[in-house]
Amino acid sequence: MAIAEDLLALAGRLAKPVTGEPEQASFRRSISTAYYALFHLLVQDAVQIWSSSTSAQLALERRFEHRVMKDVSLAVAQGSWKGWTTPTIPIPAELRSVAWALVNLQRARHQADYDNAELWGYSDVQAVVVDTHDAFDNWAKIRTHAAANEYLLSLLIGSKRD
Amino acid sequence: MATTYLSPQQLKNFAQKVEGVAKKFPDEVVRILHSFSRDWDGDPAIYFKILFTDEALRRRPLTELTNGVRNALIKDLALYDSEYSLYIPYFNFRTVSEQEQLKDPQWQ
Repeated sequence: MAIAEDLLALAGRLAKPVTGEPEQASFRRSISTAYYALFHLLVQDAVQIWSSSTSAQLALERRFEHRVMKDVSLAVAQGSWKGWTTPTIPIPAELRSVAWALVNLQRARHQADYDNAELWGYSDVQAVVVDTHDAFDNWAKIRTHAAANEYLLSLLIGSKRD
Repeated sequence: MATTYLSPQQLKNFAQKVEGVAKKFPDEVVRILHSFSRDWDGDPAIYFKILFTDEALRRRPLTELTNGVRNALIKDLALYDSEYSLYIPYFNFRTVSEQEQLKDPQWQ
């Protein structure tokens, strides 16, 4: 998970540009980097099962789609998501929190990367970085939980069909 | 393109509840703006812009403030469990001095 943690540390540094650095550009890169920190944290955990083959892991990592990850995370956060296990596994609060973070970070990242009319304030960017740290902490608490494993599967292939 | 499926009365109720949440934080929150729109994927969304006093950030950690107001909005407006759950809530935060520096019309 080194890349995810490195990206999170970088997001924190970019959120506090030193005098003379372009503030809005740094803020935008911070937000985008924070999103990708969480993205890679989850994706790398999801492909761990293929740890004996780096090529297989890389191929699988490229299959993750932002839109699918958003839809699944939204369903988890709002409590409408169904895992594969019957009876349904209760969703830990930490997992809902991670899922919300992913949805909100994806939105922030999209605005930061593509909407030049959007201005970012220091507090907003700090809040993004703090939320990402919280998501990392929450994920560490529940990453071996059955619901977390099914969440990772859903991030890759989408929600279970009825 | 319609940005909301809510009736004028529902929108009025919603605005009153948002104002009610802001009043729960008289020393911290200057105002909470909200707008119904679509997000980048075209999904219905509610955007909240929460303006903090500078003093609030000197007194309390940012995460405590943002989580406090965000959770109050989610709970008091039943954002996950009502007709509003059709909309994805997104939150932005700023202080008065940051807004004075940025002079962002979207936050006026």
